[in-house]
Amino acid sequence: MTMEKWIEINRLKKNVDDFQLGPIDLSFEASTITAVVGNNGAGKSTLLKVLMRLAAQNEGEIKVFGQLIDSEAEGWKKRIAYLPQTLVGCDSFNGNQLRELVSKWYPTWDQSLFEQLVEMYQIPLTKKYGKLSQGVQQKLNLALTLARDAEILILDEPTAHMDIPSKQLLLDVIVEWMERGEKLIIISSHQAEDIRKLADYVVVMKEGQLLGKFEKEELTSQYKQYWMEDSLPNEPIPGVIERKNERILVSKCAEETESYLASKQLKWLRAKNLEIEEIITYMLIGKAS
Amino acid sequence: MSEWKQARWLAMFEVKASLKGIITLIALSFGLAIFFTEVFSITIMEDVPIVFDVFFLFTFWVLAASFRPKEHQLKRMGGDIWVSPYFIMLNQLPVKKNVLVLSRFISYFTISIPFHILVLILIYTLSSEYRAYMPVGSYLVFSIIWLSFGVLCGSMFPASDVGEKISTLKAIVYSVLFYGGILAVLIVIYYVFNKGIVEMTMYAAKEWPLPSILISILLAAIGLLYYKGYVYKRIDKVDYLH
Repeated sequence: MTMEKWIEINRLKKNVDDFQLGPIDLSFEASTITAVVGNNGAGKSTLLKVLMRLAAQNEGEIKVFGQLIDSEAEGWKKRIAYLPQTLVGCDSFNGNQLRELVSKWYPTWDQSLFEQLVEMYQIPLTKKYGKLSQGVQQKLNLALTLARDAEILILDEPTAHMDIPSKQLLLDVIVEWMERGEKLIIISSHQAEDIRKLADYVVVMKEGQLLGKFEKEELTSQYKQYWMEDSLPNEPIPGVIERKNERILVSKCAEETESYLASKQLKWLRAKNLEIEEIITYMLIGKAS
Repeated sequence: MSEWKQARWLAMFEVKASLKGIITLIALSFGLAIFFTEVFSITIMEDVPIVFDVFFLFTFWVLAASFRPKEHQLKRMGGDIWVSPYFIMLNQLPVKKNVLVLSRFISYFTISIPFHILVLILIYTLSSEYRAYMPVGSYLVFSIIWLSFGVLCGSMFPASDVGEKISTLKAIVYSVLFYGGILAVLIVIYYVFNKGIVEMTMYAAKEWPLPSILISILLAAIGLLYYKGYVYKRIDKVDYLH
């Protein structure tokens, strides 16, 4: 089944001083959760900001619901709820005032969801934003973002400053939020748990370049580590990206590796699928290429 | 809701958050009015010190902007980008560009114009010398000249919210040149014409009321339109990456 593309990025390039993002070709489909991962400075936040038209691209185009975002019509913005890594400019407002300011622009604003999140996270709405701890600020940001109930949710490092129970609660909330109708979530994160629990797809970025968009399940089924019965011959093995010693090897293409090993009658004692964070690490250190 | 209504709503939201600054400006307007009346009563426009002109100019130019909440004022946001953090937040919301731009000006003038009017009313109420020097009609023209000046030059503050890429060194040099330039112009006018700029506008108000009104309002309108256009262009050029 072909899923409807809600966001399409074509040949996107953005220069920021001596950093260059792209060229990037990427699309995000309805009813999916995509995690954008990469090292610090890989360009994840820049990509999301360009997507939100907070910085103009140097080249390429972005379409949201089929509409070019550099056009004058700005209706598309109402259909996206964006949570930046840090929210600036609101220190002097309290939660109630921020709710008043934000909810005004979203016809889909869900007051009961906002209240539910405020209660769940025990957010004091009468305290000024600037006086709240970083963790509570982030909880308030999330309540203000999720309650917009827009079709697309873009979260830039949503759990970075959160305590463990709050993170768990948020993951549950996001899963529930996905069930509210046809939705799309893009989440930039360094947290393995966010990716493991939420993502259908993983977009990997490195130094401004897109390494690829992968289906998470496919990735985790393809990357495997093998403990061999005997020492391995000193010749290249298809799919293998690392040999830890003579008997341990890591493959990014289990099928190819296993068929080669079978053809050479090499047996393994044990094989295990790699965790998603291990796979991403291999990609980012360049061993998976 | 029409764009005007939306812009007004947004501006009023901001004005409510500026209460501390508004109270300070009200208090300040009394102090300034006393200063302007005292200097005037002592000198009766003979040998008015240049500091009178400087204070008058700054009252109608920069003062209202200086008491806006800190987050509404320009701040260095990483790299060489100077922008109002509050503007960054608004820009992330689905607020139409037109509404966003209009709200910047409405919120600024909702505070600056009443402040300027209050200063002018207080001056005229407190000083019998001003009343003797200028009849009500002339003082009204004089007030229109300075209110228009407040619009013309004050527009640069809401316009600058949108942001600018400029290095700290350049920002310092420009500020020194800007304020130094104003002072230099005042000094030159003072010594060449042997009159201060305030005295000249009083004279113009008395002698050429209609042309003074027309020129002032025209310049204010041109300034406002220029800065509005400037904001429109800048929004699409500045990178709000922080």
